[in-house]
Amino acid sequence: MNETKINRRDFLRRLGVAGAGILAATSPWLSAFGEVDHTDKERCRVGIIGPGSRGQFLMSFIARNPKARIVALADIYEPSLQSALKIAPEAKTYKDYRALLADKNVDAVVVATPLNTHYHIVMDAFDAGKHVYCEKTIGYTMEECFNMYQKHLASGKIFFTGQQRLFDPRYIQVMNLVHRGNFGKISHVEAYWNRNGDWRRDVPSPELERLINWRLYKESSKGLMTELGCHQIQVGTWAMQKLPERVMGHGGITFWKDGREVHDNVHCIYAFDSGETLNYGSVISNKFHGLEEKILGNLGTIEPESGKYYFEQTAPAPAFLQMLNSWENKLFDEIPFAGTSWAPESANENKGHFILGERPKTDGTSLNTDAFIEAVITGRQPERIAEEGYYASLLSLWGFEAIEKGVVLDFPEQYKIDYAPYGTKLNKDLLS
Amino acid sequence: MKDIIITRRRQLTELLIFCFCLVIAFALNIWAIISYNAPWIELYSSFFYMLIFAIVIYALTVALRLCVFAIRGIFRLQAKKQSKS
Repeated sequence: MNETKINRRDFLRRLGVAGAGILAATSPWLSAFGEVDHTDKERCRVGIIGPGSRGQFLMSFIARNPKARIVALADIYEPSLQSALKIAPEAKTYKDYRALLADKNVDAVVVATPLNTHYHIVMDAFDAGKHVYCEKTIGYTMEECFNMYQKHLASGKIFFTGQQRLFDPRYIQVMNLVHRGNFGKISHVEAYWNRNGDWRRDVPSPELERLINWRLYKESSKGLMTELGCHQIQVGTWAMQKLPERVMGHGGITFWKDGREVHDNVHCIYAFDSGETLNYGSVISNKFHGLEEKILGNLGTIEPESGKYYFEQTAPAPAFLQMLNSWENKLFDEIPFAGTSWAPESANENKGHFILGERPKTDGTSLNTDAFIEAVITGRQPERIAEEGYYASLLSLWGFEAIEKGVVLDFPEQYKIDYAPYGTKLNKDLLS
Repeated sequence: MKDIIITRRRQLTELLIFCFCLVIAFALNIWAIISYNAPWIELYSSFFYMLIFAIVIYALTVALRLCVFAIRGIFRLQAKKQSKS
């Protein structure tokens, strides 16, 4: 087994950033790695609730962390348990998650079950005194998310969400540059995740359809907004450093008319107080443009997923070449007559620069799980990590609601929490 | 095969012509820097482009002179033929 150990210095070196102070304002949750050198002898005992495909993906990172031991697994689907045992052969297995929560040998749980089951599992886990890492979207409704967050505060237990971009070195460096103003005023974020596939899993027998393909049915999922959008919408608010005020959206089942209940084509516009916008879209019948978030400032554009940025003003060619080019144009260009009186704004041919000086290698998931283990060991909740996850979930569910209702929605004041970076405060008068 | 002898005088002439081409390129660069309001460091940083440009001009003068020599040679050949007949 490969042992991985990362300390803050290594992390900063990877980012090419001189000091921790620079990142403190942008990504304070990195403080989770602050005591990594002093926790070598500590062990965190982890239980996995829902070790299906995503659960096993997370397990693969936890199993490589020398400070973590996967001691228990809970799933109602036996093949998932058997498959997960290959990663953690010594783990106890449970059919009922409540039995796992009663296990005194479990310090923390990772919840990677279908969306509609998160709420009860996470609430029960906090009641059982466990620390929680919950896959996004954390709740099936905004009210559930709010209650989960309040429960985390009341319990004092660690709460992480599956927002791995918060630990992705590309995104951390991007936000560092964006917040320093290197790309000017950010007016728009264009986020999309396009695929060409039916999003289905193989089902061994028909009665398991809704259990295995839970993402496709409204009783257990809210589709692309909660499964994919949650990641990218958070990037938008992270860049803007504020919450949108309104959202409008549209969705439909335009291609995969196979009995699914959730949309295969969704688009939302989130509008901010000064007119800034965040567009989110996902189509799963065309993958040409793939996955990206384009952060548009007046001085430049950042595409963190591909790991590149582009400044608006590129250095001009040397004057000598410009002169030769003008001669060439005079010699060979046709003289237009009765042509267009305007020139279209064609895309700038600009190859850009890599954010970290090289092609991206990780998506932050391993660092996210490592940070969770560190936080559990030290017992200290890193700043802002739960809040970023909370608002990411809230915004994706809010967008889903706008799509479902087909109206423009104002931000639900009753679900605001105390969170200084976005300037939001819990409104106690609205608490039911 | 007959040896081609490039005389010292010819070498000097060619060198002078190339230097002249380089001066033209240098002057054009100064003109371009002023016209396009570019930094004066391009006087040095664009030296490679100037060199290429000078070589191209020199190559054009070579081609031009070869044409002149060829035409002159044809006329001389015809004059020789006429004087023989």
